[in-house]
Amino acid sequence: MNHECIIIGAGPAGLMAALKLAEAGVRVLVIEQKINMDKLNRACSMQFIIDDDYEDDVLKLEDGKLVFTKSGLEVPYDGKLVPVYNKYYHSPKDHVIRFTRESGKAPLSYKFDKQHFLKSLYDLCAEKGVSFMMGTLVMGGKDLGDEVQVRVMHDREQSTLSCRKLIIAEGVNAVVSGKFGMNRDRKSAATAYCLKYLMEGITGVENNSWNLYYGECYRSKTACIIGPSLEGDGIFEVTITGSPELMPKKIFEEFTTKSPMAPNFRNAKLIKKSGCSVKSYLSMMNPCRGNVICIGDCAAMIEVETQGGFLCGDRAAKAVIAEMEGKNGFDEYTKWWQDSFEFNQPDHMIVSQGYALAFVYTDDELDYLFSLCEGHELHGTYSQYLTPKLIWDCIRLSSAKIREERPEIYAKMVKMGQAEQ
Amino acid sequence: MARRISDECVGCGTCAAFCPKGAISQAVTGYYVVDPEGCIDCGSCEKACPAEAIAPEEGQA
Repeated sequence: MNHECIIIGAGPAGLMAALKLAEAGVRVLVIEQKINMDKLNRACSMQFIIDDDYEDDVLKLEDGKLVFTKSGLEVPYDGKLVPVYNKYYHSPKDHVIRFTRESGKAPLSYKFDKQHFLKSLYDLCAEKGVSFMMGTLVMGGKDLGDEVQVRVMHDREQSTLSCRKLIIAEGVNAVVSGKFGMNRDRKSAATAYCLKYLMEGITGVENNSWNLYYGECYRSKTACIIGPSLEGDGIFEVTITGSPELMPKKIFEEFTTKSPMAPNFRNAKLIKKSGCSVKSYLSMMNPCRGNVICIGDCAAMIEVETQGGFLCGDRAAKAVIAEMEGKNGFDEYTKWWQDSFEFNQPDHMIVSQGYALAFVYTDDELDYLFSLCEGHELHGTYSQYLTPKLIWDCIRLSSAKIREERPEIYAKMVKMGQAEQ
Repeated sequence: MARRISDECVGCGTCAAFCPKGAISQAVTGYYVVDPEGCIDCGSCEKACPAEAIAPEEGQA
């Protein structure tokens, strides 16, 4: 057998697992599709979310490191940090819902330099003896019980590697996971295409804030997003999400030239483009089978964020070490996975599905609903499931008013399960 | 008979992950290229691309 443990993917989850395993003396090989760690062109919001208990931990940023105060995990980081103080949801006529902490005095999150972070972790792994096969694709493989075989393609040549335990940390599309049969019990959801444009010269947007634009007039079926970049004031990231029916390039063109935001883009210049596509599945409730464990985004409902990737990698290393010692590390990992991530809670899924804003409401109705939230500060959370819940809780403070003034909107809310009959 | 990646490529690598033949790889530029000898023209890469950068080679239907 070539290796004790093979890890597929040199992202946050894979590198953290590699580091922790190497520190425990396990011989590890990481297989990565990219040829080196010098460029990161995959779109990502690149932020640390510091809400208490997000992913069942509390993240603190200390001098030169991240500290997960519950699990005790510490990760060195010496790159840029850009605080984000506000998150605004804009309606077509610019009624605004505001998320903030301590009225904008405490950051909601920090943007960080993911490329620098991953490169540093990679260097640390290499220093601790982790082997890397870069520019290598995984074609398939098989868990034979006493070992796992992994077929790889490198420089047009196929070969087969073997290991005792395989960690799949390939990221969101879960292609390799599928080749190992790990997607068997998962439902696949939609495919989303995302393009991110780094731009200068956009006017009228607050620095250090996220801005989500909702409504048909912005030309997207979801939200068009303008958020902070690492490049300093006045340079923003524009994130556009599309679908097979409506690709992000077209949405971007119309958002910047024909939507109510068009005047803000009159003198804007593109600096750099990145992208990703996401074929999403419902979460992998049982991420461990035989000698194979799927960690991070490939097992998630969409994503665990970078910090969740670190937690998964750390836990997975412990689980693999326990398994190698004949203990039941994978069951313990599965329990932690199911308990810690919100998409594994059935309640959260029901909540998130019932809280749609786009599609359901017309632009005029969004203006009305958003206007009801003006003057309120919604606190903290960046959770994909709790955020819409907080918005609807705020709207529902005005239930009686909506029923009286706009009965047709109230009827829609009832139909969507967002208000009582 | 092969797909081709244009300079609309943003370098995300999704196409390489979806290629069933392992025929797409990252070039030194950071962007991706199709190996025409490995490509079976199945279109998986084209479907995976967020940037509409992949199409059949010119001259093909």
